[in-house]
Amino acid sequence: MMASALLTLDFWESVLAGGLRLGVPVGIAAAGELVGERSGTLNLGVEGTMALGALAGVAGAVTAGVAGGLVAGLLVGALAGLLFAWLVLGRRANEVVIGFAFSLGGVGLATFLYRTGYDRPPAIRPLGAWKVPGLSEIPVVGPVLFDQPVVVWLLPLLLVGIALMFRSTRFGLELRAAGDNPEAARARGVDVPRVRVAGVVIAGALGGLGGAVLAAGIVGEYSDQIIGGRGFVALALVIAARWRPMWLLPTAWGIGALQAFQLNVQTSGGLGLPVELLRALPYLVTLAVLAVGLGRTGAPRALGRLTQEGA
Amino acid sequence: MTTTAVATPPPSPSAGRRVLASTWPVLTVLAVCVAAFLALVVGFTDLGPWDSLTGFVRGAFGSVDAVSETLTRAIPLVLVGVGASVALRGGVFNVGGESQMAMGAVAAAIAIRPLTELPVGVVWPVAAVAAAVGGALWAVVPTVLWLHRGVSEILSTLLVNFITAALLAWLLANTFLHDPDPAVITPQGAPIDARYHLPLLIHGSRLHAGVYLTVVLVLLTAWTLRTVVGFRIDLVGESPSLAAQAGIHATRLRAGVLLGSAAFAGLAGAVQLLGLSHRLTTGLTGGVGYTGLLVAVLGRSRPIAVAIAAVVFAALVTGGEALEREGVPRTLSGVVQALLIVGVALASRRGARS
Repeated sequence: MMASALLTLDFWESVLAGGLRLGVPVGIAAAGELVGERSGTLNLGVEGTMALGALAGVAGAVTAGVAGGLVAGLLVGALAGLLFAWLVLGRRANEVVIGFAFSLGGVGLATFLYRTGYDRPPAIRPLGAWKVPGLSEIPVVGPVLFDQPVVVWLLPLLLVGIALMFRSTRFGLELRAAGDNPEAARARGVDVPRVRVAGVVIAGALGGLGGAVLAAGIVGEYSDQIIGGRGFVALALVIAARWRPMWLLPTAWGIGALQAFQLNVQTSGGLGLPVELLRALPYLVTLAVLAVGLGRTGAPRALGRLTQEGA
Repeated sequence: MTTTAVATPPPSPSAGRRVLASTWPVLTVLAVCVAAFLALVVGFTDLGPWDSLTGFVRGAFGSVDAVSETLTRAIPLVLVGVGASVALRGGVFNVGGESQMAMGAVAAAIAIRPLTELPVGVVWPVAAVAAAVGGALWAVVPTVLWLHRGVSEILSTLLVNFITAALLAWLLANTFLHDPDPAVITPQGAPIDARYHLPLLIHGSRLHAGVYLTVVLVLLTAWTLRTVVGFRIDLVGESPSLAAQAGIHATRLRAGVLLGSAAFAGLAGAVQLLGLSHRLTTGLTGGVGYTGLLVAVLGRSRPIAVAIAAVVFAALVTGGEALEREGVPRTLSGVVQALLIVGVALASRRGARS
């Protein structure tokens, strides 16, 4: 591809519009994981939860429309979260081990059920783009912001909601206290185990919703590789956002834009820049955030303590 | 009076009861896994319960070929798993096996590239040392981040895996490591000289001599863990404060087991390279880095048990592949593997560890 192609408006329009869409499912899952981690539990099973949510989303969408699919994804994810909570918080099994088991088993189970349940890909009527009258006519900004499936707006809404919850609700404060200083929280009468279970269930529910949004809301079908590492990207996003909900918006959309850029560059025949570098960039940035120590100050102080107790 | 109380041990349960007490959780986990397997196969496919079980067992162990295939798949799992066990005992979760394995293979390939006319007695050790060093080097960044920044090794090694996957693809597509054959456009390395391949043990199967190295390393590690070194690692893993009182430098030891487990993973990469794939590919590791860690958990960090667990995991894959020919999706193996892990994680939960 000529470098000049990078200067066209169309190219950037499609990168930004695609990035907005790609960033949402992983952003929603990351928002959930953030809530769980802020309450003190690390769930490495996001990948599996998202896969189950994606399957539930498609199955739900076939029978009850896209909205039904999203609810199905949310519920299946919450169930997965509940199971995780029972194993890790109730039965005190190691969180890292159970997390990996969830990733392995969730993806395996979703694919197994899909392949045995459907002979051919079920037809979903995907959500049409929501063309905002007037605003969608604005050049660049219009197609990028105001000609998108409605589910795209779930992410900012959700993040504002979580930020408000952390800042000004009792539950939000208890949740943060459980993750930062469980002993002090307990001394002040917070039921730490219960708050943590709630955090893990929210994490699961949003992981499932993220998968459902991807499969039923954006792509319109399930496939074996649909999650394809997005669950682990979500984990990286939480670190890159330094465990702050509002920071997830730029990081999630940033990573979406990067993926869209990579896809657009590839379809137009490559670029001087190696594609692999673009693929590695989000993880390099995340590692750098950890390395310069920003992540440390943002991380819930009790995060990972469950693992250390168990090792 | 108190001395007699100390001198007389409490009545111990009979040997039979003790064996029963330790096998009972294992049997429960196995029963649950078999039940889940049958429920999924019978509930969602056309295969009957008896046919599915026999088909599975025959696929994994039913012939010389099947056993060879199972063992072939177990080799890298054992190597990664044994390394991960040592780290786990010290309280370190090395999630980066996948990247350390890949870089071990790359290091081995680079090291033996200029060696054209040498006997395997030289080439193989060079490859092994290069792979171990390469794997360990790949854990240096997470180790340093952990030592100096307090960054959890779980997160950093996981991130490094994704960076390395991209790096490997780039190395195999754009650098001197790319296959010189102009017809090859996919990212892959040049074929390794056939003289340097690990010899096959059984005609017609893929089982290679890497199995000998694996057995030796399992026994060596099991022995090492019984020495004072193993005792120190266990002490650091179980009680860092107690270890400090005993004068053990916990941080240094933990950094050591992280690097050591990475060296094992690197070695696994070289064994896959010389024994199986015979060239660098992007799929060389194929998730073994992750499953190796799970196998370590399954074997409860005891090298010989880890080796057995690896064979069980490998059997699940080969048996699952046999069933796929009968219309059962092979991802069933992943579900059963996950159930096994959950079962063992429950059995060895915090506070319940012997």
